[in-house]
Amino acid sequence: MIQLTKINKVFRTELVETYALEDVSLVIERGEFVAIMGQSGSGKSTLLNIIGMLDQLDGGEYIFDGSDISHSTEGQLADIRKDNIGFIFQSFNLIDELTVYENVELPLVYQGVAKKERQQRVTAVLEKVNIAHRKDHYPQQLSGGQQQRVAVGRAIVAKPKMILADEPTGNLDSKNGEEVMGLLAQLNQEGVTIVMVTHSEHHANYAHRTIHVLDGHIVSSQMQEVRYA
Amino acid sequence: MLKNYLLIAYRSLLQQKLYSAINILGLAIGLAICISMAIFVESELGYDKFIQNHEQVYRSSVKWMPPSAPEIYYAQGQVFNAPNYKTHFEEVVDATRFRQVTVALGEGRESFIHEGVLLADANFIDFFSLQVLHGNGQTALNNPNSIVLTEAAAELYFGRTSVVGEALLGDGKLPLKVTAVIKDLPQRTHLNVFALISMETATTYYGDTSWQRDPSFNYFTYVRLADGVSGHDVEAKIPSYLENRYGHGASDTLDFTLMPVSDIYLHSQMYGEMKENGDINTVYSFSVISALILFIACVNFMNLSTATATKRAKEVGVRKTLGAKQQHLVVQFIVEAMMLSYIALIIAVALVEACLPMFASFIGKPLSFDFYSQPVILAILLLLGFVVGLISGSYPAFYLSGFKPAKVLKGEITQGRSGALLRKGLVVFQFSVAIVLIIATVVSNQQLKYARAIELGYDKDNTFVLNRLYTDIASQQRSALKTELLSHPNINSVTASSAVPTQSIVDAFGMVNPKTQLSQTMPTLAVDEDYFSSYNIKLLTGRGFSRDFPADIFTLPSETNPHPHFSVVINEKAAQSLGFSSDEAIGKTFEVRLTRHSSATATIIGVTQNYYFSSLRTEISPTYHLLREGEGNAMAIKFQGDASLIRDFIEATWRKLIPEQQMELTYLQTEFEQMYQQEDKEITVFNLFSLLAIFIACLGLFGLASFTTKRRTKEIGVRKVLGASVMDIVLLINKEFSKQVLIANLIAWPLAYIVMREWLNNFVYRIELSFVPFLAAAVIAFVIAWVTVGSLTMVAAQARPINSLRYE
Repeated sequence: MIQLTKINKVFRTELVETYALEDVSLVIERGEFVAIMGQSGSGKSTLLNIIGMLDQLDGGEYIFDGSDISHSTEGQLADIRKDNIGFIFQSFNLIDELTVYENVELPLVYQGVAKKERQQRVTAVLEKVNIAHRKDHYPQQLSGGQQQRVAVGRAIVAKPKMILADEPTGNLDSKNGEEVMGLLAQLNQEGVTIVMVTHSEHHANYAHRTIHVLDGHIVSSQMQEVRYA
Repeated sequence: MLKNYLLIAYRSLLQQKLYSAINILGLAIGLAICISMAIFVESELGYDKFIQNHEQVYRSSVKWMPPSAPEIYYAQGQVFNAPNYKTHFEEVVDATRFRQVTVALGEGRESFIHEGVLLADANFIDFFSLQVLHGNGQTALNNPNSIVLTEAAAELYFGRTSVVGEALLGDGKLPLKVTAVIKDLPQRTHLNVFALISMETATTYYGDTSWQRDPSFNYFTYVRLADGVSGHDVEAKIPSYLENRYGHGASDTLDFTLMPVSDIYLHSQMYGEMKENGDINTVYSFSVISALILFIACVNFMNLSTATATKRAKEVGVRKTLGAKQQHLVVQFIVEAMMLSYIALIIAVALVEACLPMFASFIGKPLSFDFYSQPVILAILLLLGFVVGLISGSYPAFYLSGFKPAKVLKGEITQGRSGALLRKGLVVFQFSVAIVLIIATVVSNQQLKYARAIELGYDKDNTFVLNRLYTDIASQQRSALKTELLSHPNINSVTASSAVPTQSIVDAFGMVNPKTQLSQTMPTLAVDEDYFSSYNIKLLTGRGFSRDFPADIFTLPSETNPHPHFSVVINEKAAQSLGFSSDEAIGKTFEVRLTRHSSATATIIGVTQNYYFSSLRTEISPTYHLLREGEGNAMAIKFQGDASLIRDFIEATWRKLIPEQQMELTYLQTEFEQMYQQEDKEITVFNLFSLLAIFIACLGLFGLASFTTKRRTKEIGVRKVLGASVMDIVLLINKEFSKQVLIANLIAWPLAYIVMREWLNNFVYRIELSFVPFLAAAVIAFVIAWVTVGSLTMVAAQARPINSLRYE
């Protein structure tokens, strides 16, 4: 599904040039659950952002679903993203002014889905992530775990082929963390490709494969026994 | 402590360059407008204050109340009014009168006609506290054939000011001796004085004492009242005085009103003013608008300060935990506001220094701004800076200083949301003001355009006007001039009259209404036989004057003809004011009171349609046309073909016939334009103000929108990740501001409607308010808001989402 070949990402300031990623190559198959681990500043989030087309390449080749998107424009990338990828962030990134329902509904609004269908799909997703009873609440009225469940709901409502999760459990206690990981594992079982950045060895065990990143390089990629909740 | 506050203020100003710049620029423009307007208003309010004890000096004017028409005010009264005030009213301690005369003054054949030559009572100089440079002001006007010159006149005729004892000739034959030279009058006076000829000279000037019985309303009358007496006290006694003098019922149609001399310039818009006066409404509206503009700028400050409050929240928290009390912080934030306010003030003063001369010359007023030599003005300026700092700084100061340290330090203050409602309210206020100003601009321009295009009822095209034909030299040549001019194949007609359209009708007699037998005033215009045909003025019924009817001619009573008869042609309005239809009026005769002891009989022979003789601001006056060839002060020359050739021909003819007097030739179309010149200027200033108000409001909106997009950067990022397009984001943010602009429209419309309806009421002939200006204002406001907010949002929305999410 994803094929990165010798990609580079450089951050420049006035004085220094830092390689966040250097000659990184990576293949992710459809239906895979991949965990990316590494220390702070190792480049793992950058890698995730590159995969999610949120950040530009400074070199190398990116093939997504068979098409080379290395030189696609921002607009084209936005379209691919909209139809294929769902995002989950460590800090949830819910919109404070919108209710739970409206937050989940937002990707469908941007996809131009009709109101009736939106209603059905949002309701179904809210039930799936077990937050339907708080659908008219605002994000600040929810606990961290509940907020992240809303974020998961929002990531999956548009039926993406792939979910990218950037430390989805980073701001959660262990119980809520387990709950969210359970949801991701369930989605993966339903066929969604999942790429997740995490600090937690424990949560990395939910994945088929763990990639270790250090100083902008992939240092190891190992298949593992999958642990389901 | 203060040093610390100033240091912090200075650094925070530098840190937030954009917001500081917006605040300072807005405040500086607002302050500059306010200072300029204060200078303008102060100047307008300071007229005629040089007259000693001016509070007790009043001008007496005539109020005529025709039975079936609106009342009319004349600035000038009759020759006997002033002496009568002195003899009949004990409250009047002194009175003076004067009339404007057109006389060519000079030595020998070289003579100049100048405005402001007055035939004045002996006490004139003393009465108006004029400064005498040479000679004795007390006695200078006591004797006949005496003339007092202003410095300017002395310079013009002699090239120096020490000219007491020198001789001048009036109209080439009237010997005059300079008895005193006075200082030029201050610019800020409603009086127009160039030279004063003693009243006693009138007998020599007119050749007999008939002037003492002159029935015309040509004499300005001023009275000085005893201390403690007000104009109203005297006015209350006038009706009974009039009844005694003119008989029972006289006070029903005639009254005298007294206006304080220092009020005349701004409050008097009567027939026959000495020169064009100002308008108190202009003073009011400019004051209000400039205050609003300054307030809009203050609002920007409040808005941006509370909006950016979170940036300061942590500082507040830390200061509070270190022991600062709320009042310390209030003072600190107010000091910051003051600092910005004073920086803005310095820029504003520089702006005023740079622009005031331009502004002054544009509006044609002597305005000056020398704050450095006048400590009072400096103090006022410093106070202004203080007040502006206080107004704009107080709300943010209390808002910011009220943060709870525990919450702030935990980061619980979310982006200044608690002030959001107030901020929205203030944006609504700014836009309401801007929208009202846009509507006012559109409406006033529409009205001006309408005034230009209105059907005047006379033909003003291709017309030259020769003025000041009633000097002796010119009047002797009047008919020769007319004959010579008519010999040119391209001159179609020539007509002389006492005034030409665009001037005002100032002459009037008393008359007895043939229907009601009540006294009323009769505004008269002396014309010749060709007047109606030349101007193409339509006769509705009857006939115009004709050489075939010698009895048409107006004559004054004489020993051989003590009760003359003559004809009048009146306009529709006059017929109406007499209580007749146009047809009914024909053939009616009535008594005209020429002097206290003599009268004449007039017969109405024709009725013309109404035509706009004067400005559209004043209603068409009832007009009685008299055939009076000797009174043609001005001659209208209708031509075809090349204007410059005609002009040359007129000039050559004039030089041949009246070489002693300088020709004064105007073009009627130009005079017509000039009638609206003052209004044009006011509207231009008004347009400029509206533009600046909108600009400052935009500055504020720009600042606020930039803050909003910054505050919502993360949200924009999230939305983009979820698939929002750039346009989706732009629409999202614009929607928020659009709501405020919509509310502002809803507030502004009724306000503007009321204000503009009142303004239009100043015009007798006016446009109807339509929805167009309102719609236009709404569209302009929306477009401005969208462009301002949209351009900022566009930049924010085009940024890669990761930039806003990276540090989350």
